[in-house]
This record gives sequence, C-alpha cells and structure tokens, in this order.
Amino acid sequence: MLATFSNKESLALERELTIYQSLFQENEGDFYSNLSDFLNSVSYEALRGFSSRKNTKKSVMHLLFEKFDDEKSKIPNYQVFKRAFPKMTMAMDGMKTIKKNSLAIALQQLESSLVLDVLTMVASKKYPEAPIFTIHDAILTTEEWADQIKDLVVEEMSGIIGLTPRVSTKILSTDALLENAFYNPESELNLIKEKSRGSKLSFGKEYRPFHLLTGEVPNWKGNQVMTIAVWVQVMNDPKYQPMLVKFASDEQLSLKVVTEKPVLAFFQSEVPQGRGTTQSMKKGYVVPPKFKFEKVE
Amino acid sequence: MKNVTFYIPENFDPLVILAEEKRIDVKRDLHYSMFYVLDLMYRYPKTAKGRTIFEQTGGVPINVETLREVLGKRKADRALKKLLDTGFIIKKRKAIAYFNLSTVYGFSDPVYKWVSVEVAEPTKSWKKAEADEEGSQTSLDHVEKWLKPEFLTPDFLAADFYLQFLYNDLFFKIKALKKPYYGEKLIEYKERLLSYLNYRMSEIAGSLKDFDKSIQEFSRSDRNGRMNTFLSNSFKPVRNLVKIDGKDLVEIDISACQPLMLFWLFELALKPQKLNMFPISATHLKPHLHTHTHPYPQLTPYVGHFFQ
Repeated sequence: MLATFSNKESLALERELTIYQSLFQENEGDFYSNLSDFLNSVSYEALRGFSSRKNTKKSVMHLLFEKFDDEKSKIPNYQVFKRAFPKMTMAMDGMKTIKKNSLAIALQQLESSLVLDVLTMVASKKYPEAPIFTIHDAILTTEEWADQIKDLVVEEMSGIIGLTPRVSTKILSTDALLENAFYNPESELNLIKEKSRGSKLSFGKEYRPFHLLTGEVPNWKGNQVMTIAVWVQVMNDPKYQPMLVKFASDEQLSLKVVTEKPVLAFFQSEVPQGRGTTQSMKKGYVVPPKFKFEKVE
Repeated sequence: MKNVTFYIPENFDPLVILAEEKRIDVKRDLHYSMFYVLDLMYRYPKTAKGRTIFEQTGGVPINVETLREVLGKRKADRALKKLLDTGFIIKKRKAIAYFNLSTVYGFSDPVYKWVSVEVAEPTKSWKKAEADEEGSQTSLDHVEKWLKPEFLTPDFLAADFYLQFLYNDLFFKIKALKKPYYGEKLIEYKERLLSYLNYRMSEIAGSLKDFDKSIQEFSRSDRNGRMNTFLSNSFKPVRNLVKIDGKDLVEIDISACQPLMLFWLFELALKPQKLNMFPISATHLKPHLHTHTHPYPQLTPYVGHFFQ
C-alpha cells in the first residue's frame, strides 16, 4: 500500500494525519461530531451522510469496511471524504485491493492486541482483584473498579498511540433495562423494526412462547406479568392459587385469552419441565372460555 | 482428550478437502465428521444385513437425521456436502421408506485399501484448548479466570420479567400494526418483525438457560485476534441481566475505536520506530505492517518485536 507512495505523497499523508488527529482532540474528543463539522465546512453540498453524529458514525464504518469500485466510488460520502483526505483514502483503497476486508482485519487486529494484550493485561497486574471482561473494544468491570481502570486505559493509550482517547463509562443495570422495556416498549419496537430489515423471512414459522427460567411469576417493583405462558406454568403451585382465582374471575382476562392466539398451545399438552424450555404452538385450537379453579380458603 | 479409531480409504486426504477452511475449530470438527461418515461406510457392509444391501445397491444407507443427532446438524450436513462436492462419494439412491428414509451413498471409485487412523474426539473445550496451544500470544489467563459461573450469575427473575413482558407486549403491538404498508406487503412486514422478535427473544432466553456452560466457552480468532465470549456473542440486553456478586457491570468504552486504530495504523506505517513503543509481541500484525503498510523498506531497518 504505502510502499508505492513517493516521498512527496508521504508528506501529504502526514499533513492529512495531523488534521485527522485534531479531530480526536477538539470538542472533548468527540470524533464523529468533529468530523461531521469538518466535512460540512469543507463541502459546499448538504451532506446527508455526515449530517448528524449517528449518520457520521454509520458513514465512517461504511467507508472503512466497504470496497469502493467504479460504481460505488460515485457515492457522495466517499467523494467528500476523498476530497478532504485524498492520500488517506488512496492508502485505504490500496489495502482493500488485496482483499475487501484487509483493512477491517488490520484494524481489528490492532484493536484486539491493544485491548487484550496491553490494557487488560496491565489492568489485571495492577488491580488483580478487579474483575475484567472484554467485548471487543470495551472493557467490563464493576462500579468499584471502573474509575481506576478508566484512568489506566486513558494513560496507557495516550502513551502508546500518542493521542488521548475519549473513554466513556456506562452502568449496565438491570433496572434501567426493565424500566425502558416497561415504560418505553416503543423504543424496543423501533429497534426490532431497524434490526429486522436484513433478517430472513420465514413464513409459517411456529412461534414459541417462553417458559419461565425461575418457575415464579415475574415480578419487578410490584409489577407482575401474568401472561398465559406464565399462568400455565404456575397454576399447579399452591402459592399462586389465590391469585389465579382472582385473575380467572376477571372478565378482561377471559377476553384476552380468546384473542391471544400464540399462547393457546399451552393447553394442548403437558408443560415440559426444566427452566427455559420452549414448546411449539399449533393453530386452530379452541380455548375453553372459562377456567375452573377451586378457591383456596 | 479422547482418541477414536476410524477406518478410512487410503486415498482419502482431508487436508486437501479442508484447505479452504479458515477456522481451526471448523477444520477439526469437519475432519472428525468426515472420518465418522467414512468409517460408517466401512463398518456397515461388515454386518449381514449391511452386506445384502451393499450388494443390492452398491452403497451404504445413511439416515441424515440420525447422523445429525450424533454429530450435530451443521457438522453432519457440511461433512456430507464436502464429501459429495469433491466427488469422493456419490448418491446412489434417494431416501426411500424401504431404507428407513435413508439415502444410499457409495464411493465414486472402488476402494481397495482401508487404513485406520486415530482422531481426537471433538469436545466443547476445544476452543479453550486452541487458545492455550498457541502460547503466550493468545494466553488470556487474565480474562479467562473471570469467565466462570461462580463470578458471573444471571438475574433469572429479571430475565423472566423482561422476556415475558416484552415478548407479549411487542407481539400484540406488531399484530396491531396498520402501517407503513398495505395488503400482502403489510402481512409480510409483520411476519418479518415477528420472526425477528421471536429469534431475538429465543436467543436471549437460550443464552441464559445454558449460562453455566456457555460462560466457560470462549475463543480467540486467529484472523482478527478478537476474543469471542458469551458476553460478546449474546444480544445486548443479556449484559444488563448478568451480575458479579449481585452487582451491575460497568462498561468502559473506547469512543471511535476503529477510526482511532486507522490513525494508529498510518502512524505505525509512517513512523516504524513507534513500533518499539508497542510493548507486546503481536506477531499476527506482522503481515499487514510488513507487506502492505511499510513506506520505505530500504531505509528503515526491521527493528522491534514484529520483525525480529
């Protein structure tokens, strides 16, 4: 790749790298926002691909991992980036000529070496009691050690790369997840709409309601989930009998039972034992309209 | 690791067939699976019933469903496909009820000599063994020691709430959708959403169900050097449902990591003396830096860990 660069071209590349480096340092190191601002200031056109931070991130990933042949090289995002960083783009394209994913693999190798062989290694030596897990470019630990490991990551990376990276921490709490699912299921629906775009379509697939992992009625901050799937699994538990009687007498639930088709299958056969097991659903089953539970005194 | 003896034709060379496979674990699994199939074709005609069928058809009936149960679906299918694609075995008869719905396979060329070989039986700990074999470079003891069920435990009650509530809620929300399409296209759209919802939730439930086993399985890719663990392979909500001693996990994320690595790659290519500052012997970086990114090979001597 760079072996074909002349001295003049290498100097030009160095100049571009200085600009590129500054994008990591200005504005609290928010690279994507800085790049978006920079490209919008350079270009005369309105850039859809670099209009926001989210779009810029998508576009950058596309630029890094896609091979731009004759047809693809005409897309505006590529052209704008090429105008701003011509030598960098040339070098990137040079790497992709060997294989489409050569650049991606080289970057991932650098990243994995840095995270696994340097950052976590040093952290585990310095703080042997700190639990450390990795997810590619992220390190997981507990709240107790988060600040110390974050400082270590910043220090080590600025020593090795010569740039102070922007490192963020986020608590992966169960409450936050459930709160979002409970109060804002629309966001989850939007996520499914977005992610399912490229998924395979399978008609006639049998939907499998989930069996409980614990065998207890799911409960979070006093909110109980009583779906038919849960009902069937806890109905033989004497502890839940009074609750089930109350639910059975509820008119709304009996209406819901008739409309909720995916869970009808639970009345057809025995419930499999063991946590987390699933059971297939059969169509066309008619549900008895009422359930008979004996009242527990 | 337990060794198993198989009988295979003398002219069968698995290395040629598996030359295109890149992953070591896939190679090993396919190696074993192909030997298993060939051994089956050696042993079956030795029985009385087998001999009659072999004389009638010139092949051995193999029930794919049974084979899948023994080897696993993907391994069985791929092993048979490899053998058929290379023309080593051919289909003699389609699956019919007479042979218990088994397909009859035979050799394309007659086999004159069989040899016995010993192969290690595949186990789930292969991935771990693979990481250990490659020495210090892939030694992940400092991360591996925490990947144990005694440290990490899922919150099953919260997981139940998440799965039961969200699955039912979203199921009926999707069913009630009246936009953005109409007619058959809307039905197709809904099917796609439901299919993905079901897949996503099944994956989350499945990964938590076998948590104790799956948490101990990990591998380090020999292509990109990344470590694949339960946490990286599962969907994101699983990370929120896993605890260390009842405490939540905290994610320390390097922002814009890939663009940063691009900068570093160019820095290393332009200023190779910086390689000395990289305090590891990551030999897998060598091909990229050496062959494609070195600007002045005649001027800069190959100094440092990469080029020793």
